[in-house]
Amino acid sequence: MRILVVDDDYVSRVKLSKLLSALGHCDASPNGDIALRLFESAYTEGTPYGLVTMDIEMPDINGKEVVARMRELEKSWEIAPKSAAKILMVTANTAVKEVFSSYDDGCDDYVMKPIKPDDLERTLTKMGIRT
Amino acid sequence: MGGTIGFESHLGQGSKFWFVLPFAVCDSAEDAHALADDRGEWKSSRSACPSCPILLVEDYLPNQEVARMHLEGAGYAVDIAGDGVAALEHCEAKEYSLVLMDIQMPVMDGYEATRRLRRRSGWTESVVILGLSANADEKSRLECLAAGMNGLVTKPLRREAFLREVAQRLSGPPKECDCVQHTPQREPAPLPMDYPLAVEEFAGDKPLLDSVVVGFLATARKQLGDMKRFISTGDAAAIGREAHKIKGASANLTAMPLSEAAEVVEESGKSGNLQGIHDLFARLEKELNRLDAFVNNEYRK
Repeated sequence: MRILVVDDDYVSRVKLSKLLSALGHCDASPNGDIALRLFESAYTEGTPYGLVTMDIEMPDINGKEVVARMRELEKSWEIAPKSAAKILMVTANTAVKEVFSSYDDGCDDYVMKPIKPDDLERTLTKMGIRT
Repeated sequence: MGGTIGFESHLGQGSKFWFVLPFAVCDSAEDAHALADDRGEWKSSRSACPSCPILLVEDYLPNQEVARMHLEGAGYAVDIAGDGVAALEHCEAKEYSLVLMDIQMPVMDGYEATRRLRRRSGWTESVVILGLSANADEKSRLECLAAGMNGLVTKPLRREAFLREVAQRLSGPPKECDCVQHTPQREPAPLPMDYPLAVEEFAGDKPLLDSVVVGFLATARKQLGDMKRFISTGDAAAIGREAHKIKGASANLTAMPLSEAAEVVEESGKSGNLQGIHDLFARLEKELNRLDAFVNNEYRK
């Protein structure tokens, strides 16, 4: 499985990539723009991402907006819902409301920052991604 | 029990019933007995040094100046803290004869600061803490007592009544401080990071963790430089943004003291109120230095 880690914080990017590297090959993006380009090229190459982790507060495009655009791209590629990428929101925002609305906006689940390996593993299992 | 009860009712809207009971938090049965016969006032088991300076905790500059003018005019030495967190830091660094605590403040309010001071062991358990509030009603007074204060002084301050209250609490006019060499008891500061836990959280990859930490320290150092500029130009939003990044990254490295120091700066930046930002920033810088020294001395030999 190909995995895309999107986070403007270098520490989070490295930590998530390290923890997810057991599941497949990880690419990482420090912002929304590069993330969208990687998302498109992975599809064009015929190896779309199976899992995307998405930070919310980023300097260029808000993570929720990036997710919405990824879902639009999938729609334009006529990807069946069961083959769509699993998207995991990674947020430091303790405002539950914010998290829940992102959950409705095309995300499959979320984990809180700081990233705890146990929590990540539990959530991935819940999402049906084997760990 | 020295409490109050009351209600407010609005036709067609509903009613609010409330009561206030002053309770103190006890750590031992002995404390509980000591407080049992107390009528809501915090019981001083020993009096704090009467000739130490007074700590004034107040976020609003004009109020700071008025109180300072009255106190210094009467011969008291005064230190000023701009919010509850700064007050806790001042009290860690030295002993005061009396703490004057504003209630509504950014970052940490007077109730919470008082509760935390009372929970600490040492002189803050028994020092007289007087609340400063514009609300003179019984409910406000009792809420102050419930938080662990000894009383309430109402604002605006009236010079004579204010100084009378202070002198009574200190049992006399200001004296020369004879305990300059006094070193308060300090709890050992927590380690700057939980290194073994961090290694575990990076899936056991110590070289990777070390390289991330080095990268983080360099980035954070640069961010602090940027924040200094934002402080001088008063760009609160930018300060909040940078502090937010440091908070998140350091928490991911298990560097919680730094993350917490950054969180306080972030809140101050996001609220737009930069009162006391210099103290908060100094704490952030101190924690970053501590982490740097810790990592370089303990783990990267």
